[in-house]
Amino acid sequence: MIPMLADLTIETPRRRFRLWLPLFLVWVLLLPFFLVALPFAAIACAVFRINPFRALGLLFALLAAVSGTEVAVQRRRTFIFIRIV
Amino acid sequence: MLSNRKQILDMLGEGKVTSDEADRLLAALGTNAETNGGTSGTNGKIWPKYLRVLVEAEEDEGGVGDAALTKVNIRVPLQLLRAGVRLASLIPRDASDHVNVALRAQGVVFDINQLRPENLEELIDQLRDLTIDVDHSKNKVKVRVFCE
Repeated sequence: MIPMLADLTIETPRRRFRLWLPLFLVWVLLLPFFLVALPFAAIACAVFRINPFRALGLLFALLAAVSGTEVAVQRRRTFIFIRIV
Repeated sequence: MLSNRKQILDMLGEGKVTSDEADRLLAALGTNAETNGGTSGTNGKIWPKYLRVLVEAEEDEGGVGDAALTKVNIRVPLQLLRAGVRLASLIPRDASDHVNVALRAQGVVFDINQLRPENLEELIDQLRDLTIDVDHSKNKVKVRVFCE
């Protein structure tokens, strides 16, 4: 399953806010670009003799594996945390 | 799961696969079991799920004793590494040769054609008990890399 949400937390001494970013909207927005790129990708696969279905599957697996990634950065009293769900 | 293990052992007994191939198949089976919710490998080992990178850097900001500590904590799923390596297997031979030449020019003697999922499993298995600590006292930077 490709990641659908990103959890963003920003903490400063004055305020703290947490934002759930809907990544599924990003995928929907990227869909037209994906469709435009599809014929070029198919040509590239034919030139380099790559199975396009295998390539697509591996790309999907790579996207799906992003879930669980966490990045936390703290400097002085500012804290930023991003988690891909 | 048990029937798959038995099937592999039967294939080994019939000589259809070598002992090395059977070992890889059993290891892959253990990895699949782990990704399906379990954490134990074929030998009851706990397989790591994440690669953790911790960085602590202290920066002097002019005044005496005026230092800002920056901490970075990154958790990367090992599944992402596996997926990346599988995707790397699609790189055409010519392109990977160019990459190898570029790496060698940077002083990194590494053949990316040798980067295969089965090799990665071995690497992750070794990383299980490995912690890399880099302590640069001059720049006051500490880096810690480990699997968990």
